[in-house]
Parts: sequence; structure tokens; C-alpha cells
Amino acid sequence: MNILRKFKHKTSALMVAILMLLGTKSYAQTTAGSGISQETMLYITFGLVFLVSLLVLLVAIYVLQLLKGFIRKEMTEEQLARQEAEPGWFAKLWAKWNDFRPMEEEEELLLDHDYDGIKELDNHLPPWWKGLFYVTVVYAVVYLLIFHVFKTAPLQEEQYEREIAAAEALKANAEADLVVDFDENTVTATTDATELADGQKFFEAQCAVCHKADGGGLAGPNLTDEYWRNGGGISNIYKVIKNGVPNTAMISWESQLNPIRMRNVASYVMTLQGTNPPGALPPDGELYEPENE
Amino acid sequence: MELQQFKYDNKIVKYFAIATVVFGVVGMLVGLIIATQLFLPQLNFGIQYTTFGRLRPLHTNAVIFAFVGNAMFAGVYYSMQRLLKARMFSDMLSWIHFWGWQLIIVAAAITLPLGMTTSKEYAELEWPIDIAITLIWVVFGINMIGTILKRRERHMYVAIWFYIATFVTVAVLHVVNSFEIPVTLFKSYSWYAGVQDALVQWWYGHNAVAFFLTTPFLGLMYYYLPKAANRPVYSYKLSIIHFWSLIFIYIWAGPHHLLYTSLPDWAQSLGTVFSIMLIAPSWGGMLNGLLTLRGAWDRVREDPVLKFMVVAVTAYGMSTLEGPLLSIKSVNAIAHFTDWIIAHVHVGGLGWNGFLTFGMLYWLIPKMWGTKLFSTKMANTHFWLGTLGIIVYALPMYTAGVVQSLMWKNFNAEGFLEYPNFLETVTQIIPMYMMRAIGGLLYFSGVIIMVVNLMKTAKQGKFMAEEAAEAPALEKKKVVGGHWHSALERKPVIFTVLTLVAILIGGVIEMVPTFLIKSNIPTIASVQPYTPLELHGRDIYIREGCNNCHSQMVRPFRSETVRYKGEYSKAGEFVYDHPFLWGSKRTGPDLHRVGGLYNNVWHFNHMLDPTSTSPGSIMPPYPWLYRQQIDPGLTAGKIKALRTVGVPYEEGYEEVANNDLKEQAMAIKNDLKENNIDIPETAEIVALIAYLQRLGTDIKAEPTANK
Repeated sequence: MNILRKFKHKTSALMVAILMLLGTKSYAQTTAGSGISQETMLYITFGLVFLVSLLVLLVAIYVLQLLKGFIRKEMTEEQLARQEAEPGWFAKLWAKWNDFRPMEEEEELLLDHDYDGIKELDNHLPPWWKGLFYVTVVYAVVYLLIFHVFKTAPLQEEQYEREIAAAEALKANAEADLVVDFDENTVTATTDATELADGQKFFEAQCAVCHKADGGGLAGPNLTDEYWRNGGGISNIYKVIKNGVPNTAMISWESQLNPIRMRNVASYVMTLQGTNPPGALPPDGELYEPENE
Repeated sequence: MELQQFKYDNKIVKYFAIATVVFGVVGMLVGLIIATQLFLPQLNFGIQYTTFGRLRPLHTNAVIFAFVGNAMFAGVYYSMQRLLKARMFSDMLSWIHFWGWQLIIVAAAITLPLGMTTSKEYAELEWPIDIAITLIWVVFGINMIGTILKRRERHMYVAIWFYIATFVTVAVLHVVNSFEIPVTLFKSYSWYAGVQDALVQWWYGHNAVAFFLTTPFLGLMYYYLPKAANRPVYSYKLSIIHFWSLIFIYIWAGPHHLLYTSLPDWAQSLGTVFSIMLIAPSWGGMLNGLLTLRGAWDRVREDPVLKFMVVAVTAYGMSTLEGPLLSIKSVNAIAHFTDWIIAHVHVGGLGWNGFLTFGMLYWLIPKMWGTKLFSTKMANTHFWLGTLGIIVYALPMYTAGVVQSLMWKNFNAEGFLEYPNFLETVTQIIPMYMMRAIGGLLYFSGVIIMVVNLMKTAKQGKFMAEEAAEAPALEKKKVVGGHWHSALERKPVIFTVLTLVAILIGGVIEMVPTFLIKSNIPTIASVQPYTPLELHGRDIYIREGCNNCHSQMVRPFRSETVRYKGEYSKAGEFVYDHPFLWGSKRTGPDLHRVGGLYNNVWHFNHMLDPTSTSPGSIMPPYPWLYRQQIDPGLTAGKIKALRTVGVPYEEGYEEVANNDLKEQAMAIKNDLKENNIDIPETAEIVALIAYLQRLGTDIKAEPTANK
């Protein structure tokens, strides 16, 4: 049979495609190695399952269509015509959900209304629509009960407090075994390349918004010259990062950054001294001369 | 029974129809211009009257009140006469209504670009125009009720119910929301402040959508769809149930525009649940429309009129499902302030209002000119351009909304905002802004094709200004019995009163406690009225329409308090804000905590050339703020007006206010001078800087240094 052969050919092509897809996926997983977080793995798995089920569904529909085609081939003209006249599954479902009266009975449903030729039928409310209405009313009542009577779900203020608490807990957890052997007065600049790179990464992600990636200054002052609003040198810079500057956009980063991180950023800022980037802002503040230490 | 001869007035319909088309083209063109300005900011040509902030209200007002408004009147004047078998109550009132409405539109088109605005969305027009709107609306109402009273048809058809609801509710909404105290001929302050002003405004704003864009158009659908399809309306029962439930529930849903703001929680929750309960009543309208086409679907494929109507009704169904979903708090947390909302309103506006209007015009014009449509092919082209336009408009906007919102909220693994620079989230979606403009262009070109088609149609026919009709007079007899609602349909006055009651309940229950119960807006001792200079600055902020792109409402999310560097906004901070300026869209960042964040020089440079301080910014420059001077002569009037509405300026302060104004202005001027910037202390930019530096600072613990 011709059709069957064609079918076989097509499915095998499809199977190859699926296998290839699965293959590349698992390949990607192994190469990425253990660097992938559990969450990402979860997403990948979900994605894979979703993709496979989608493919299975497609294949199933395809096979169904083929089978239908076979059956149709066997049918006589008469049977075919009868089948054509029959409404599709959706039309049937739609008619059932709306509890339609057959079109032939429409005459009986006509009300004696006539407005400029517009007539009205006495159809009852579509049952699914009525159900939808009831469900939304129940939803409304339950919603109000949960939030305002039993108060089992948090309103926005509590929701916010929870969100902040969760973020703080996460941070505390991350810093649990951090060893800090300096404070803002005794801090010294690091020269460790990894630590400086860490400072640079943070600077470019967060500080650059105001100070420009090269430190030349935008909304915030130029950090590459010897003029400082709040004093230069590692200790002063560290203090500004830690405490912020009141009434400016320079917030206190203490709640978000751990001391090591603040030192790394401050140390990176120190390395920008004298880089003279193009388009830098003019000097602002006092000339800072480092004391001999 | 004696047959009475009378004539339908088609001329008034023709005039409203022409106005619909003209203002449709204008309103959409303005929309296209401002859509383009979002990726091409220099498209205002450096002129202050054509910036996004001033044109955006022009676009919304033109499309809502001029395009949809005139379409509504054209459709109502045509259908009402026929449904009631009577000529309009008074030709004179019809013409006062027509010319009055057009004058209001022209007044809007002049005052809005001039920056005369109240800042309240879809109610931007200043107080003299507000009064004119009230008068003309009453004229429309008298004409309508008068026609109903002298009708020759015993019962009122469902379309008439919707027209009545429209008249009654829009009157109530407009009057209540427009309470304002005049300062000058074209400047006023809202009677309400802060949270209360926001509640009233969005009760109005939401129900302007409900009773200006929805109920009248449902009425039109109930006339033009069965007429065009030549089919009986599917279910009389459904009409009754969905009419009453729709108007009763709609009015409650306003607070869903204020989720996660400083509005009391209980009011927010009412907004959410009533929005959810609104799904079925809205869908009742869609179903009754679509099911009316049962047995006529083969004609839908051929008749452009029906095609437009089917898409219109479907778009109505889609946006009335989307609306309630957007009112669920967790969805709203993502969608609010983003382009998702812009997409949502345009599915409703372009799809429902636009397409129903087009369908109606394609049916109406050949009818009134006694001819056939000039070209079905052109109408089909219009249909496809329009449909494609809506899709190309909406999809990029949905994407833009979700992408930008997720970028705003994204914290990296280390607990920092992944995109701390707001601008980064803007440049990301600029390609989507371009796509959207293309969608708008497609839709607009479809409309142009329609204009040509309709003009050619009119040309080949002959207009019937007076259409003869006859019907027996309504006998003065008592009709009893029948369905209870059928009895109500014979009693237009009782019907109107019941409608009024239904739409008042929700508004009263939400507003009265918010105004009367103190705990709803906890006061904050350190919050003080604005200084005279800040008042001038605030009025410039309103004039320039800054609130069209910048919100002043930091929501209680970690991503917002971190991004905007301060506490989330509290109800008590806005008690002197007449009007409130929370905004509804963040094309630029929130400004509620901007006070003190940047120095005066930064603001000075930023307003002169936004890209100098924020490379890539799509905000236009505001050079005129540096040339124009504030008028200290207005200070006393502003202070007095605000005192009248409850701001505690001491008695007699208006006499000395300008001393304070000068002192504060000099401080800013001198600070700028230290940075080699020379500007007169009366320049508008100085006042604006003063206002921006004040924003959101009252509750900060440290005393402000910049004052």
C-alpha cells in the first residue's frame, strides 16, 4: 500500500528528528557539567518533558488523521456525504454547552417583539455562561473572606515585609561564615586580582549607572581624578559606600553588600585613579592628598 | 388606529458620521505621531506644543470623545428614531448637541497642546470646557428622554436601555470627577487630594471605559448587528440579565487601576472581586451578539459589515476577559505601569470601538444615500489591514510589557537588581515600539481606504435628509401584565431611575468611607504643604504632562524600594496633592522619591538635554523651560484656591508667599551659579527643580539640605 509506505517513511523521519533533539539536549547537559544549578536542571527537565509530550501529541494527531484517511477510503459516496453533513466535534460540543434548540424550532422561540424589524428569541441563558457567573461570584466571596475576614493571606504591607525578610535571610545565610578582620578605619586596599575583578564586576553592574563604567561620572561625580567630595583614599571611599551620602543618590550599600565586597569595590575604585577616561566630568570637591601611612 | 406620518431626521446622523470620520483620522494620526516619538523623540521638532506629554492627552481625548463619541451619537440618533418610531424630540436640541460637541472638541484640540490640563486622565479638559460638556450632555439627555417619551413603540428595546444607562452614568461620572477650584480661566485644582482624588479619578476613568466606550456600543451592536445580519437577537433573557448585572457591577471595579498603591486594602480588594464578577456580564453581550449570527455565518464570510462586527464583538470579549485577569493582584503586579496595559486598551479601542464603528458606517452610509457600497473589495482590504494592524500593534506591546516588567523586577543571585539602570529596560523594548508604530500605520491606512470608499459611495447615491415613515400613535391605555421586565420597558422614567440607583451603589460604598473614615489615610506629621515655588514647579510638571510617562507611586515591592532608593509611597504623603499625580504608565522611571537624589545641576542639564546625563534616553529636551519665566502674580491665587480645598496655608500667607518664593529660587540659582550656570531665578526650570527636589522627601528622617 502506497499510503502505508509513505507513512512509514514520514514517521521514521520524525523519529530521527526526535532522537536528534533528545541527543543534543543530553549532550548539552553533560558538557555544561556540574556548573548548572539545580533550578536550571529542573527547568531543562520540564522543558524536555513538555517538548516530548508535545511531539507525542503531534504524532498522535498525525496518526489519527491517517487512520481517518484509511477509513474514508473504504467508505462509499453515500456514507461520505452523510459524514460531511454531520457537524464537527466542536460544533457538537458548542451546541451542547449552550443547550441550543435546533434551528428548525426557531419559529416557536420568536417573541412578539418587533423593533424596526428586529425580532428577539426566547432562548434561555447559555448554561456554561450561567456557571461562569456563579463561579466568579463564589470566587469573589471566598477572596474577601480570605483576605479580610479570616486574614489567612497577607495584604500588601505584610507581603512586602515578608519579601524583605526573605531577602535578608538569604543574605545572612550567604555571609554566615564570612571572616572580616577590618573595619572602616583599618581597611586596606586589596591587590588580589580575583578580588579586584569581583569589585570591577560589581562596579560595572551597579555603580556605573551613576558613575559611568569607566568612572568618569554621569549623575554621580568623576571618580578618576584627585578631587573628592567626601575624601579620597580607601578608608573614605569605603565609608561612602558603606554609609552612603545623605540627600544624594549615593545610598548606603551596607544592607546589601558584605564588608569584603565593599572593600573589593572600594579597591577597584582606587585603581581608577588617574585613568583620565574621555568625556569625564570636571573636578568636583576638594583636592585629596593621601597622608603618609 | 390611525396611522401617523412623520419623518426621520437623517441629516443629523450624516453630520455626526462625517465628524466621526474626520476626528477618527485626526485622533489616530496623533496617536501614530506619539507612537513614533517614543523611538524618535526629536519628532516634536523642538516645539513645546507637540511633545509626547501634551499630545498624548490630545490623542486619548480625540479618539475617545471625538471619534468614538461622534460615532456613538451618529449611531444613536439613527437607531433611536427607528426603534422608537419617532423623530428626535427637538431638531434644535439635535443641532445644539452637534455643534456644541464639535466646539468642545476644537477647544480641547487648542487647550491641550497649550498645556492647559487638569492632568486627570480622560478628564484633562479645564473647568470652562467641563461646564460646556455638562451643558451639552444635558441637551443630549433631554433630546433622548424627550424622544423616548413621545415614542410610538410601547416597549423600549434593549439598545435603548443601554443608551439610557450611558446618559445617566456619564453625567454622574463627569460631574463628580470634575469638581475643581478655578485659579485662572484655564487653570484649576482638583477638589480632592491624593488617595481620594485617585479613587474618584479611577472610578471615573474606569467607568468612562464602561459607559462611554462600552454601554453605548453594546446598544449600537444590538441595533446594527441584527439589522445587518437580518437575524433575530439570540436571547431576550440574556439581554436583561447581562444589562443589569453589567451596569451594577462595572461601577465598582475602578480601584483595580490602583492595586498595590496607597489606596486602602479593602477598596483594592473590592476592585479585584468586582472585576472578576464582571467577566460573565461582559461576555453576555459578546454571546448575544455572536449567537445572533447563528445560521448566518455563511454571510459573515462575504459581507464586510458583518466581518467587522464579528471581529469587534470578539475583541470586546477578549479585552473584557483580559481586564478582569489584569485585576488579579499577582498579574497586576507585573502588568501595571507597562505597555501591556497599552496593548489591552488598544485591543478594546481598535478592535471593539473602531471595528464596530467601521461596520456601522459601511452599513449606514449606503442606506442613507440609497445606494450600494462603492467597493466591497476596498472594504475587505480595510478589514484585513485593520485586523493585521491590531495584531502587529498588540503583540509587540504585550512582549514589551512583560519583558520590561521582568527586567524591573529581576534580582540576580547575589540579591542585586540585574538592571539597576532604568534606561536599560527602555532601550530593550525600543524595537517593539517601532513594530507597534507599524501596526498603527497599517490600521491607519485601512481607515484612509474607508474614507475614500465612503466618499465614493456617497457620491454615487443621493442623500435622503428626511426619511418618511408611518406608525400608529401610542394609545393612552393601561397595559398590564406580561413579564415583569416587559412592564419596566413601558416605563422609561422608572427605568431611568432604577438605572441611576444601580450605578450609584458601588460608587457610594467605595467613596464615602474613603472620604469620611480617617484611618483610611493615616496622616504623617512631617508632611507639609508645597512652598510657593514648588507649587509653580508642580504646575509646570502638570502642564508638560510629565505624569503621562512618570509615575509617582513606589509600590510595596522590594524591586521598587531598592530601585527608587526609598520607602514605598504612603497614603499620608499625598494629602496636599491637588490633583494626585500617581500616573498610570512608566515610560520613564518613577519620580516619587527623586527629591534629593540628584543635585540641581544634574536636573538642569537633564531637562535641557536628557541624553547628556542619560545616554540613550527617549525623553525630549525642554529648552523652553529655560526661556520662559514663572508669573509670581499667580502665586496668591494658587495659595487661596488650595486653601479653599483644605490645604492649611495660614490666613494671609498669600501676601508674603512671593518672598519665600524668591528666597528658595535664589538658593537654587546660586547653587547653579557655583557650577558656572547662569539662569534668572524666575526661569521655569528653577521652579521645576524646586518641585522635583521636594518630591517624596517629607518622610525622610534627615533634614533636607537643598532647601
